Amino acid sequence: MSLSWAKNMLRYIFAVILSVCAASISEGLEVGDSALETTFVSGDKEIKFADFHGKFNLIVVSDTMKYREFNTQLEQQADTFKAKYDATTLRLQEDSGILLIDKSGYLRWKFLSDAGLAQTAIAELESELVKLKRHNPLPIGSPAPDFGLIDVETGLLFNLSKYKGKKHALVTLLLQTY
Amino acid sequence: MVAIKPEPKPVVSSFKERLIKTLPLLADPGSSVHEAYGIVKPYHFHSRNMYLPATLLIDKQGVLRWLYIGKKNSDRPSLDSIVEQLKILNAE
Repeated sequence: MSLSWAKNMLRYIFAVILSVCAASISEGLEVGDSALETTFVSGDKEIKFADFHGKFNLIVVSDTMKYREFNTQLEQQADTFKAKYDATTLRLQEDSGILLIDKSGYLRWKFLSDAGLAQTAIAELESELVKLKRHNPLPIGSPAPDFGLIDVETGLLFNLSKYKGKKHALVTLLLQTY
Repeated sequence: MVAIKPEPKPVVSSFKERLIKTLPLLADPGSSVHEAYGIVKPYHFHSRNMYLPATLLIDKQGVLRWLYIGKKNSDRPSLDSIVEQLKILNAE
């Protein structure tokens, strides 16, 4: 009897911890932050961003009434977004808003709004996805897309935007190993 | 100055040990920077993109001011040409 009570208690504590973590996802992540260590909670499932790391640009959206219209439109575009932008969708039961995390684990865009703005949100989302995948070199004079990546030696996050207004940046892009 | 390699951290770390000693080296497993700046070449044989080597100069205002795209890893701009571009920026 007491063992069963203890098990239930542990389950309850675990559920509370999960819900606290879940509630902090959209509040805790800001554009420019790394989501590499983020764990999403959907019902009793834990989903780690690491599962998507390097594979997909991840669209995180609440599977709630508030985002129903957005979700319906997103569903219609899902195949296109996957083919054109390597984007996949993760639906959460909590009110996380809409987040776009790029393949490298960097939060690129966040949309927190009331219902009724689905069209705006979809248009903004697609415009952000386009920025993630250009097929021609960015023209000289364009605003440089920001990025946040991990320094392999220090383990620290390097954000280009930190140098804005302070220093010029010389960036060397290396070749992939084939 | 930073260098970015479009590969997972373990691969990039081993590359750092072998080759790049002085520059901060960033891992970009999703190749997001190459794609955001359009430094790609469609590689139809394997239905995937080839990420090219490049050198970018971004000014203090966050504007892309100069770009050199190489055909292979050793195809890099000369040091003189980089210095010249930096002089132009500093003279403004």
